[in-house]
Amino acid sequence: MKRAHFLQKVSSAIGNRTLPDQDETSTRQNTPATADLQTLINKFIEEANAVKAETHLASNDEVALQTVIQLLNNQTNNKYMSWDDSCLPIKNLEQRLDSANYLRYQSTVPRDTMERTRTHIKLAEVSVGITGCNAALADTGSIVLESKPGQGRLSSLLPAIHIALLTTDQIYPTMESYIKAQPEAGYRSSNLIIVTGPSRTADITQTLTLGVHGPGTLHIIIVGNV
Amino acid sequence: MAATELSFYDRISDALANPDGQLAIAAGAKAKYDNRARAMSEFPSMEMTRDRARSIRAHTLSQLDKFLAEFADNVEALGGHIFWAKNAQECNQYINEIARAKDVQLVAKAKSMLTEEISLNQSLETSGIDVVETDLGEFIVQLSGDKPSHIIAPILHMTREDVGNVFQEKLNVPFSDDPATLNAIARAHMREIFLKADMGISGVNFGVSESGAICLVTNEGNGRLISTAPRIHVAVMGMERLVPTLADLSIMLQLLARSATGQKLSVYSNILCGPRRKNESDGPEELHIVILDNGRSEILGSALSEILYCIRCGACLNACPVFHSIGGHAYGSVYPGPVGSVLSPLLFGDPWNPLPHASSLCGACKEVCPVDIDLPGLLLKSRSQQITKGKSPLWMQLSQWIYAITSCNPILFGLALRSGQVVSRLLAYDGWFTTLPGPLQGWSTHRDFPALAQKSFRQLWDKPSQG
Amino acid sequence: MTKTKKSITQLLVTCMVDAIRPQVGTAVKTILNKNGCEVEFPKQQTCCGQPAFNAGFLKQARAMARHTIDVFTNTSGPVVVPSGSCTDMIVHHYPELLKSDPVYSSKAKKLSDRTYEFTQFLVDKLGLTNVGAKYNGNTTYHPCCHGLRNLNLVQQPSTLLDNVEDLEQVVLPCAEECCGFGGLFSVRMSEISGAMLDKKLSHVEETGANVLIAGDVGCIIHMQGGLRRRGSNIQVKHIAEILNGCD
Repeated sequence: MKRAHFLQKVSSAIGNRTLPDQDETSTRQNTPATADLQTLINKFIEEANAVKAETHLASNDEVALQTVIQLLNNQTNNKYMSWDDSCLPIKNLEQRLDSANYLRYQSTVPRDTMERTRTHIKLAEVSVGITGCNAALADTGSIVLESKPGQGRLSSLLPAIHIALLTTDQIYPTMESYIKAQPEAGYRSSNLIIVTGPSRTADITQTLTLGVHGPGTLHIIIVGNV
Repeated sequence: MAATELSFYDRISDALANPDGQLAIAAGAKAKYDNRARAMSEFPSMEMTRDRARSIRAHTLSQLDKFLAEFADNVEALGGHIFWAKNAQECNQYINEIARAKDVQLVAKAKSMLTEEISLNQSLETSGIDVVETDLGEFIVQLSGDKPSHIIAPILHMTREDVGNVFQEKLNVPFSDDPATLNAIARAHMREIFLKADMGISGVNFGVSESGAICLVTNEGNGRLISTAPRIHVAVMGMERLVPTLADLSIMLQLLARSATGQKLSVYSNILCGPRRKNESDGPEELHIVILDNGRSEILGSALSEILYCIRCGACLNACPVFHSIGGHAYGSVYPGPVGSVLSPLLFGDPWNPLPHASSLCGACKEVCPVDIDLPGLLLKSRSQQITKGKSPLWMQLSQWIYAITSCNPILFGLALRSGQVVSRLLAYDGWFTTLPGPLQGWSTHRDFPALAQKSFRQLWDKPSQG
Repeated sequence: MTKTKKSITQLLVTCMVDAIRPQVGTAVKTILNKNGCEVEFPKQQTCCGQPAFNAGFLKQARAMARHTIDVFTNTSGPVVVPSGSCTDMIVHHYPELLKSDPVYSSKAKKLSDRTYEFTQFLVDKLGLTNVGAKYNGNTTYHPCCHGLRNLNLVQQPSTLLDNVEDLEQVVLPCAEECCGFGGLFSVRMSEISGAMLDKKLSHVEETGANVLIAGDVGCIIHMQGGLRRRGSNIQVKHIAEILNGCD
């Protein structure tokens, strides 16, 4: 159906004035949400843990790096994928992991169809994905990631383990306060993902299991003087 | 009684004759109901958020043409494609055409009740395309050749043994009824499908008109995978599923997961804004959004328009004692429960007319609806519309006329009471009727009916000494 | 105690009470009389029309609404109804049903404004919490849906029952789940109604109570009929009967 015809049908229907709140103008108001940093961090940790994300505190970059290396130990293999170094809050991750004999798989997906599939299948071998965050939401324990250049979606999606590096200044009290502060977040990249814990399902007899299709383990390393 | 009306009653009988299935559904729905209640009790701004959510739905629908136009313009500006589908046929045809043109062999699909409404899978399969449902519950439904029994929890009606049997038979794996093992089997099986699929298809939880973004909400991550790995992503959106801004979306998200499962947020609230952009590392090369009418514009212009406020959370199903008793399949529709009882006759026609009558109007649904839809009111309107169109059994029409005439005339009413007393004296035993005649026999299959009091209240009022 | 002038109230007894459980009407009258209310009973009343309305027969429902409005129009004082669902019909649906009627629209609103469910009237209008009732029994209470959800009758019945001397009360599990009556639903969808009834009565039997209390006679006869069919001795009473201390 042509757009004009489709929309004309909608306009006529609205013209019947049968909606119960026909002239509602929307009472969306922003509720102010403020809290001191320590309270925010504590709340974030509490909520993230409640949805089964594991949180780690790192007072500085070095501690954060050590934590990453620790988490990479004992994995099925030494392969990982990550956001570009320039997009991460700690410096020289790639170099440091390289010297510790971890192998970074490039996660830029070719546009050619055959190559694309081949790359995806290869990347599925990787056991850990490392990313930064663009924000975090304290009231739900969520992290927010955007798919800007150098920050692919796959690193937080394909591997069974996702390590997310978050700085304390990225934590917002609520989704609403985050959107108010960064309204362009919703359209400056092709994907804004709000992640609240590791992947889960309770489809089978309401029994909760983690790690269905997305990562079954989510580590959030909170970097900053806490 | 029409044949299809008979089949609704048959399906009800079948459901009630399966106590194990009935118990599974009731327990599952009750668990979700309790989880929602707990989540709402811990949500201090629940009432205010609910008001805001309703007002956003109302505002959006009252200017839906404007918001749809804005949405479409923004999607196209991002390099996405918009298709305006009048009905199921147009939608399926369009998607089949893209699939043909782009040499699609395998489709990975996220759960979407809308695509079930239009039977999209069958349409693609007829064209020789493999379609795999990737939501775990829907995958199991697909494997077992069954239908979902709940709009959020598709296999509410299945036990773990049922699932184990399906996997053993269809996937050739050793039997297990351990949910963690079954999930691991599904995950491994699905990996390859996600990564090899040519096209990902999903529904849309909410479109955001100010940016042309669409929001997909899942717990499993399949919604992310099908909209990232395949080179083409097709999203089918009911035309009413818009919100004006991202801030409005955040209000809806505060309520959606809490209402559906008791979670504060689902694991993945995925906001997709156009296809992969220049210099981005991954994502689909093409994004097609099909905006579907399929009867919604008629509903928008009707007395039942409020049903379009629905955000498909499933809370009304979980609260409904009728749903608890008969489960989702008995409704014979992709949309069961209270919302489905209003929607199904509107979308699918007369055979679903009995559905609005399968309610005691207890109001539990309205209590839990995150956008405060007056579901009992809509069920009543549904019923009265059927009567206006003359769709009612003859015995009902006759008895309603007799009842009205009698009740508008106190003398006739008094006479009716006295006749009832005579019948009671003659036919009731020990003050009770154990059988009732004709259309009333439904009562007596489950309970006795009391004889009328020997002296009615009005008779006693006149002659209190006879009390 | 100072003698106060008796205020006049109108009793809309409801067709079910009239025909099947007149003792509920008598109990209401007695309690109102004891608490300073003179009770009038306009004899032309018949049925509020809810069964027609619920079945979608609006023409018939309007006819009965007009009749009921006529019956009460030239009477004075509040209208008291021992039924949550009939009160809901008058208070919420009459104005909507007759909003396009030039003569009855405002009359419907006036009646709606002065109509109260019985426990609502005692607690909210008369300010009573204790009607001086005494009832020896082990009881449990089922809140009928229309009164519970559409009139918000929560605190009123519980306050009154809590103050009944000698009354033992056990909480009914899943009390707020519908009993399955739903008027014509009980006949038209009798299998579903029966399944819901079974569930409710199992919960009732779980409590060990020997009396089940409820506020709507429709639900009462449905539950009593079901208990009788099960061979149970549990009695189902209207809250007015309990507050009138009969046993």
